[in-house]
Amino acid sequence: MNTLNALAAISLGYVALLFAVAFFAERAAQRGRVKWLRAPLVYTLSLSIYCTGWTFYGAVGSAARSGVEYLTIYLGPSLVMIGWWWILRRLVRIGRAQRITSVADLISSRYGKSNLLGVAVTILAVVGTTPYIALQLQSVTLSVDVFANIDSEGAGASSTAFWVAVGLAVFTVIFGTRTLDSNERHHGVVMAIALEAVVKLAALLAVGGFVVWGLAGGVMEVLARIDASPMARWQVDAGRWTGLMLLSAAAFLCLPRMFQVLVVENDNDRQLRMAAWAFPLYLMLMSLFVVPIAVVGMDLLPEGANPDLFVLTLPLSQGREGLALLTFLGGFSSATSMVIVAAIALSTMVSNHIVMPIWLELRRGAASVSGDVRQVVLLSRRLSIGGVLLLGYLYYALSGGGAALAAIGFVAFTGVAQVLPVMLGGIFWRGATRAGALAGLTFGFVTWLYTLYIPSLGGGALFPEVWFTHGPLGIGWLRPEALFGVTRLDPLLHAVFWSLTLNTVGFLAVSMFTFPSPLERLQAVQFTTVQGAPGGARSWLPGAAQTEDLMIMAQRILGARDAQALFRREAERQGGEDMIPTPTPEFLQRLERELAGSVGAATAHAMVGQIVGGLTVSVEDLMAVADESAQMMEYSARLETQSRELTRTAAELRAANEKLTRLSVQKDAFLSQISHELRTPMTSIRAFSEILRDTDGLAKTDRNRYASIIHDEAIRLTRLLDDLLDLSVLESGQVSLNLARGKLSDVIDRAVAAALAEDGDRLRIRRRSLNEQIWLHTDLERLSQVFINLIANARKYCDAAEPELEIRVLTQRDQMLIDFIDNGSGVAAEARDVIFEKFARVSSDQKAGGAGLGLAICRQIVTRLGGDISYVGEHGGAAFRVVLPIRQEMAAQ
Amino acid sequence: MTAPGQDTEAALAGRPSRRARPVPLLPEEQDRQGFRRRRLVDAACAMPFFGMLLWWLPLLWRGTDAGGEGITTAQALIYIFAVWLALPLATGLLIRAIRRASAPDRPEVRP
Repeated sequence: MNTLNALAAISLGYVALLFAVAFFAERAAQRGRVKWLRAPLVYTLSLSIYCTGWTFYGAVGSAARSGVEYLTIYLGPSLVMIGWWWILRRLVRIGRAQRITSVADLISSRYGKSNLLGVAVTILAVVGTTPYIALQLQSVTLSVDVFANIDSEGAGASSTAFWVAVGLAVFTVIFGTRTLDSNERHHGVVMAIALEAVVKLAALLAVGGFVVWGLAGGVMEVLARIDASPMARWQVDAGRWTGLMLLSAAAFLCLPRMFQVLVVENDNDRQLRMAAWAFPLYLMLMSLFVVPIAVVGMDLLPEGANPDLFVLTLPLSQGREGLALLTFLGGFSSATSMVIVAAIALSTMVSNHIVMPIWLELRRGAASVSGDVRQVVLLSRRLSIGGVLLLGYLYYALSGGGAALAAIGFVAFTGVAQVLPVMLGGIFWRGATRAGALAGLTFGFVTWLYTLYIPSLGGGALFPEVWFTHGPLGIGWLRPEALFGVTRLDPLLHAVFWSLTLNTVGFLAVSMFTFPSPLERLQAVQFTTVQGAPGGARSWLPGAAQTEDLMIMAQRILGARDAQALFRREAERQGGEDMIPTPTPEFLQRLERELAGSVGAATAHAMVGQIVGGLTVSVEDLMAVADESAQMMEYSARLETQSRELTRTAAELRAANEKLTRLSVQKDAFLSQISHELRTPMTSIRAFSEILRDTDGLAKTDRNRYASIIHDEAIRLTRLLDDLLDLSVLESGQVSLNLARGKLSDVIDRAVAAALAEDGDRLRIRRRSLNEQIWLHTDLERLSQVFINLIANARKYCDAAEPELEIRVLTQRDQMLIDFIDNGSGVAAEARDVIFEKFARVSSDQKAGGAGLGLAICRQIVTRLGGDISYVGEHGGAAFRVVLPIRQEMAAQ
Repeated sequence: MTAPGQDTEAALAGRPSRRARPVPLLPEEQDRQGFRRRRLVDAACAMPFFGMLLWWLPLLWRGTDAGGEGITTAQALIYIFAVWLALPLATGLLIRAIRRASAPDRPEVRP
């Protein structure tokens, strides 16, 4: 049995072990025994996929060739882990809250669920990762070749890469796409790579221990050997030391496979808290024996031996085949775990951001009626895994597995690091916009391709040689390795500097000058203020969403049981009886987030959008919502005002109604009064005229007396009718004023004389004539009519034993007040607001003999004269106040 | 003194409390605890920068010239790995201290 066959058998056995571990982990997860699967230790170990075959073998080679520079690619990630509070803690919380499935999903989701960005990041990731996968295939092939050379048979070695690729594809398909979990966690795969992490660490430590204590004879001896070796002199290139440290730190965050295990597979903060200190220690142990192995290897192995394989050839040269086998398994583990996780991460991206959107586009509007989407997603994942591995294999086969591959590690690092500015900007800076992200990624990607990726394929592969010396078209500034005339720079550092600089500048500048869409702004807030609380843009308007359609679609993606459980939970939350919830925005949002866990945010958005109807949430939609609520608020405010007005009007109407009722009662009373008033003179006129007609021989004196009675009564009637007529004229506004100039005292004199002419001096009038020396320009006749009326009223109604009327005149700035105050008991409170109405008479006392029209006429006149008359009853007796305006020219004395 | 006892909360949260505290915390004690916790978080935030500084130090060293004084690669490696051991351990201790200083039921918030 030759070595190769033994190797194949052992490898198969090891792979079978991995299968078994993954299988049992999946089974345990299905039974809900996930506690130990989520142990922080498992999480920490799974991070070890950072150490790939390239680092397992290549670190020693790098140390042998260029000293301790290899340390930088471990120091950078160590710093990132130690600084977990800054970035990782935020990233994993966002990842959990938003159900992020990949780097591309993070970027797409953050920048307004833009699928274009998802596609861009996916392409970047595929281009950056494919050579890396090729590198892993190469490392396995090389290590197999080492054993093949022992047998000197070499048979089948060239096909090793192919079969390794096929085996990895099978494993990844089986365990990477077993379920379409909404959390996108792969317990089986994680357990398997945790086991592989242990194997590779154990292998490297075993070789290291063997070299230090077995070959060199102790720690001090190894240190002496180092100082005696060609690398004894301490010299590091400061630029490369710093640059590579930062580059590896950036790549650690952005590599799709690292993002997968760091963020997507993360379950709780506890895991991160352990990994923060334990993973740097793991990296330290992984790199601890690299220099000793390199130094001892250079000592012991013949000149020209490939230092990349010292880890393997050193034990072999000492006849330790068992140790070499362990080392082989370690290298195999490093390579396979990287490829498996990278394939899962890439296939998720490719499937969610490229295949599914295209598929949905082709079957537009059919997401709810056509075949099983769940199967389509799984199939597209599986095909993507196959495609990714095939690409890796083709790259390996076409590049011929030469030395060029060894340098590809940093090239890939630089490529994926282009995501860093957009990622950090996305989680820390609210102002980062989609256009900015797109610009940054494009600048970075193009610069990377131009300055590093294409030159790395070998001079003259795609660019003519002359470009490197004189630039394209002879433009020296555009030389791929001396951009903008910056020469004498390490080509790698040159590319890192320019790609990240242009990337960041483009990202910042375009972000500053563009305006994000509403959805972007919502997502920006969610991502920059995450506190572990679940979020998600409120994005669906309640519309014509058909819950049944949503149900069918969700079943296809989540599986029937999970979907039904989700819908039932939702219906219970909404308090409904049956298991069909109404498609409220909250429900749609939650459903979208669940689906996003399986197919990515943008695809989920598109799928729900197809069914709900609003494919995207446009500014108009949001404006409409805002408008609607604003309108409703305005409407309700208006209603409130109206109802207040109505209440006020109703109160006024009630008051008016009461007044009307009172007036009507008074009018009725007055009508009987006025009939009586009219009837009394009529009766006496009729009686006396009958006497005059029927009685002959009346004495002349009697006849005269009777006739004058008839005359008086007729006058009284006429006066009554005159008053009524006067009032109606005044009220209708047809009266014409006879304006004249006169003194107030004269008007009052005339009024007093006229009013008191009939019954002598029973009423005493008190005046202060000094105050009355005011010139008026008004209708003096009408004004005196008002005064006469007021004085006559006082004469008639004042019930004091010695009636007295005071006429007080007061001038204020632009008006004068003329008060008529008597010493009687005044007008009863309940009658005060009707005394100015027609036919209102305060007492039923007949002695006054008026018709109740006087005050109504007075008010009409004063109003016509531009003033006002009111009752001011607080002066002890009845008090009327006439207010008249004074114009400047009238106030002259 | 109605401040809730930390142990009661720890017990309710299903977590064993490491140090039995017979007396409930006074408000000012809680305040001091919160302050201490925030300073620990500050320290944790400073760790990566501290580490960066320590790992950039080797750039300043002058290597041994032929027969001259200077740092050898072995010495540099010892330094780098010593930092590499101390830094994660310090971080681990800080994380433990932060967990102890935070109330069991309170979610960690940014300072």
